[in-house]
Amino acid sequence: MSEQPNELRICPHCGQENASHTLRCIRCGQELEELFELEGFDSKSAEDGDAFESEMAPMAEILASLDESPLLAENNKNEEEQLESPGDDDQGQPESDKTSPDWLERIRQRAKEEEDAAGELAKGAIAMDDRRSQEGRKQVDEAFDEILKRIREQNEHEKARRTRRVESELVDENGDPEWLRRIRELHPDHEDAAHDNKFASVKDAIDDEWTEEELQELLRREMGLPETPEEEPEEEAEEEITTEVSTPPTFDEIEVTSPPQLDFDNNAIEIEPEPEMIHNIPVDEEEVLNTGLMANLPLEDFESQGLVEEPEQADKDLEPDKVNESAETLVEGESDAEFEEKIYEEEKPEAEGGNTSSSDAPLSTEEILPDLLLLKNQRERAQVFSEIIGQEGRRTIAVLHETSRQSKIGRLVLALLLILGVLLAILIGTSGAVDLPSSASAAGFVKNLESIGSDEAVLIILDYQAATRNDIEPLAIKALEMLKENSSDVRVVTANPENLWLAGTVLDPVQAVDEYIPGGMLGYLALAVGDAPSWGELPIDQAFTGDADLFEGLEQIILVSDSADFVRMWLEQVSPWQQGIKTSAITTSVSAPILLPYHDSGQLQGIVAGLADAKALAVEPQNLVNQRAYQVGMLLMIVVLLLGMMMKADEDAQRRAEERRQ
Amino acid sequence: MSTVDLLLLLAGLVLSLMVFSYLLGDTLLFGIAMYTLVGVTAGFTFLVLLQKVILPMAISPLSAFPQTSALLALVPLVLSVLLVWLLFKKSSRLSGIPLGFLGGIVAAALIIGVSRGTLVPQLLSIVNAFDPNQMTSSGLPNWSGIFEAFMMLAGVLSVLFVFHHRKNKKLQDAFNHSWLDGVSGFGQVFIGITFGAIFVGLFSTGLVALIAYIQYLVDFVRLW
Repeated sequence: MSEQPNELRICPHCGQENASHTLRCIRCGQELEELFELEGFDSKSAEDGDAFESEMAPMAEILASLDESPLLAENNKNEEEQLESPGDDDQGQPESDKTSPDWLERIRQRAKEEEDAAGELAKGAIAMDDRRSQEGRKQVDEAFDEILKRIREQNEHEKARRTRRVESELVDENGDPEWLRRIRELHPDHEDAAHDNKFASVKDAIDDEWTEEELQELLRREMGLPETPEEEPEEEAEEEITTEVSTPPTFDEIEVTSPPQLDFDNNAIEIEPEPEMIHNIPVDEEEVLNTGLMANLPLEDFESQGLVEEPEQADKDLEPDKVNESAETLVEGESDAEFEEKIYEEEKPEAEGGNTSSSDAPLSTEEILPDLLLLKNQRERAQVFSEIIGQEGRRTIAVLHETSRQSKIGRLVLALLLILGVLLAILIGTSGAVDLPSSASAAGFVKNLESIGSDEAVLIILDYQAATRNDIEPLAIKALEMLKENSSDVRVVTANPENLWLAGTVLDPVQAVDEYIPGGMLGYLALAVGDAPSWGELPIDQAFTGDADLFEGLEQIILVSDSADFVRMWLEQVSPWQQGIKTSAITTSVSAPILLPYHDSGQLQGIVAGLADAKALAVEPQNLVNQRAYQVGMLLMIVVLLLGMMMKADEDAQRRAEERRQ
Repeated sequence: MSTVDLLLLLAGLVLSLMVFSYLLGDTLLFGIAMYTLVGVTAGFTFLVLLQKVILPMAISPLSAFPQTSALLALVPLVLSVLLVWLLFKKSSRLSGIPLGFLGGIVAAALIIGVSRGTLVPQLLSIVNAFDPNQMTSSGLPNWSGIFEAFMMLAGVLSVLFVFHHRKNKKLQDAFNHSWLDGVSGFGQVFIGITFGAIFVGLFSTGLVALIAYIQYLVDFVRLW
């Protein structure tokens, strides 16, 4: 808004003086922008025409501020005054200003009649701007999406090309991938065979007269490369071909100039491009293949598991007809993506149809994955096996009781104390006599022994060790003496070779064991069960010097054994077959508690066990061990046990108190 | 005393002292004594088996070959050869024939023997303990017999329950049955008494052996 609205305004374009309220120059029609210079509004933006046009958006705000501006209200008021008193205005104004155009008058008139005209205009401008902005945004978005789409497609194409290049770089001149070469290096024996097999089909297809140079030339022609000049050295040509073959071009790079068929000796021979050896083995699995474990596996295993894709198979995967068709399609100008999609669509129905055998079909990741998992499993097993080998010789089970030096010393002290006590008891004083109450089992044994009459057959079974002879032999000697007094028919047998010479103490020195029973308890069982056959004698009968029927006419059996198991086995195996025979036992103190139930059940007529039952048989003291030493030894052991129990209780109490404290 | 007896006594003294050296640990002297014992026992056993078993039972019957006894003698001989073959080839299936034959017979004998010789007689013993004739004496109750019968029954049941309770202790921890623990503890008392009696018998037997050999040494020294 100008500071002097009543002054004339000079058109900046033509210099014509205009009224202060005119919008345009009356001569040239140039807009007089200064009219719209408002307070607080950036005048620079209004002066700059280009910038002003770019900032059309706040037009509605400008118009709205015009309505509210008091200056504009004054201006309108002045205009009304001027309209009401035209004579006054005409005096002060030039002629040109007096004759204002009709359109301006209409505008002014309409502005008087419609107070919100500016608002309507603002609304229309805003709506127009919105409509234009929406259309513009839509176009911009579409263009942006299209650009993004193109960029993505280009990236995908670029990735596919890079993948092919990387894979092709891993393939050598023979078409073998790097991982396969590593395996073959580990198996040089198989390498030759595999190498020969690989080219067997090629040699079958191609005439034997084809030379290497011809094949390379044919390959160069196939790949669209210029033919090798004859004057070039062979080495250079080979290097070029080798380089090119090692990096076979992708379909994008192939320029097919002629059909890939050549007539040679009236045979259509198709030289195909080197197949791409694509393997789906991850990097970590390649490490597995490079380990020593995989080196031990023969190459046939890899081939059988489908890990090695033979070139023949790859040749079958890429059949020449398809290559020709694809090449022709490419010539017709199809894009790379369309070309690849077409090949993929051609291969897909074959794979789904199952027309080709499984060996011919390319191996997918899903097919190879189980094999890779198997290899991984083998690797894990190898690691476990190596760990087991490493742990060989080490202690795998924790020792339940670690013997400490302190316990060794305590054991030594206890043993020496016991030996010293026994020694002193033997050296000092008399041997004494044990006056223990007779047990029921011992009484039963004596009663049964006394019941044996004359001429009754008694079988004595010896089965004890030398270590327990002092606990058993006094009782056995006394029993034999009683039987001898009764004139009983005593027969002594054993199945333990040791008792053959131990019996010399029990029996008369000139008397030996009557029979040796081979087979232990099974021998006794055979004799108890078996009968003499009509056709002869059993092999075990050959072992007897006398009557082989061990149990015939037998009334009593006395088992002299230090083993409760032997007595129990006898009662379980032999006695049920010979139920009319009474059985009793002379055993040690250890076996007595175990055999007591058999005495209660009536299976044993009586039991005498060790030194405690010596009184029942009235064994002479001189035939027994030193009774005083026995008492001293038992007393020492009782003291040690009581002390041990007290110390253990004290340790437990201290541990519990410490646990409560914690 | 003859010279031979004196030498035997001296040898016995030396061997006894070598065995006593085990108190100082697994010494060389103890090892020598043990190897001597094992070697002598094995040699003696082989001679006994050769004289009493192999020659009369396996070799001698072959002399009367056409007869049935000779043919029957071939059966244990062949089985013995197959068993010896196991020493040279442990994975031989032919060697499994005598082993299987022997194992089958032993297993069958054990099962039948335990049933006929232990289970049935012991159960009958418990049942017979409740015989009215044994629980009465002259028309009056025999309280000792009654007490013995019930204690026997309670002991058997509680001891059997100890093993069952220990096996399922983890499952029963979820349910607090104090009476089950009481029955199990009652059975453990019987087991403790049994093991205590066995330990006393074991120590008594060992002590008798110790006294006997110390007496032997003392007697040997007193000779001089």
